Amino acid sequence: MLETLLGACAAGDQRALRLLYDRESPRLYGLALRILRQPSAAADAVQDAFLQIWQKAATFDPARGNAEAWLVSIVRYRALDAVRRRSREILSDDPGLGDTVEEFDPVDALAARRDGARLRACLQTLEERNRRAILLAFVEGLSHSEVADRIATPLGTVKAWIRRGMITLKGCLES
Amino acid sequence: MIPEDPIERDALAGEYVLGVLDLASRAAIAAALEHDADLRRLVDEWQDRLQPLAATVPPMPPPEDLWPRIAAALPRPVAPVVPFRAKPGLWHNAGIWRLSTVGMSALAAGLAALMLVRNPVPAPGYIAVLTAPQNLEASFLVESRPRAGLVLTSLTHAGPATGRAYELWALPPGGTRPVSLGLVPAGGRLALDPARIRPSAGTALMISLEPETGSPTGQPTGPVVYQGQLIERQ
Repeated sequence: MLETLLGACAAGDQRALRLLYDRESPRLYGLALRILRQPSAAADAVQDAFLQIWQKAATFDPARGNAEAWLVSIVRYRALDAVRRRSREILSDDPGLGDTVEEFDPVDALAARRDGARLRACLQTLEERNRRAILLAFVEGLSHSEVADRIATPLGTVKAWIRRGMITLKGCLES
Repeated sequence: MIPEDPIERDALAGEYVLGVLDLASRAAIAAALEHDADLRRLVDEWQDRLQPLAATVPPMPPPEDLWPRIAAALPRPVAPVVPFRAKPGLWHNAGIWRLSTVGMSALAAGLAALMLVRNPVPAPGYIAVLTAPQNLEASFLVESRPRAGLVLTSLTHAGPATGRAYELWALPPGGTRPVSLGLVPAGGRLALDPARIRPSAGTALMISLEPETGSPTGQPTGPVVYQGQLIERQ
């Protein structure tokens, strides 16, 4: 269905973009908000992302990956770029940030998804510290150094944990 | 900046997708992705691997004014289809049939999607929205029913003028001549014998205006008044 809507966007049908928005924006906005922790910044990221989706719909190739991952990536990259730019401007321990989103356990939440079982099982094979660092990075959008600050661990160690975790994760997913 | 060692490249692609890199590294990778197809493949693979995790983040309603902002920033809309005009003599040319439905398929897919969003139907199958080429009004819905065939339903209850009939035609992908699926009854509802058509994605469906007893030639003789394309629903 997403593929079909992207195809219609590529053909110049703006109604298809609207349908895509109606269908996907709460999820994409949720992702952006999780990373940016600020409604106005999250809205800007989603707006930029939808303009990019519109412009790049013709370049989406189902053979290269699934449509959902494509949409998610566009929004996440916008949000990540914005949060990295911002972190140079304001202190990362700004008390105004970080209190707007509910806590949840992403590994638990994977269990509820049909396509999540395998990733969940593989994440569970990781060492606890590696898994935690990876989840903080992906879900909260933290950089290497922000993960290091958050879990009070030296930067080099955190980089090694994440890299090791990612290698194990890939091996497990491909086995 | 982008390493050549395959293991390093893959690790960097993973870290890019994960989001841990700083702004300068992100920018360097984004720039490299424009021309480095191998790196693009690695990034695509990581995106697919981690995507279920993104789906676990709780959705949040976006601000009300977000869509209006997006819509305002879009380039001015271009008419998505060229109105179809029937020309005598072209009716038996499958290429013309196909061309005339290409533009419509995107729109029909959008309309079909709209209906699916509103009425999620779990059963797998096919759906098409037939629209009038002139005004793009959705006029007929074609859906596949489990253990039955395709069912055509009128959405507008508009019928042909007295003494004329609507005839439904199908042209499968790669087909050269449309096949008649029968006349549309006055009530606008037509259940198709599964033996008569096996639905497939991309099959063009058309309704032409014919004499009361149907096309005398076995091919459409009047103008196509509604058309659309079957898509697989998920």
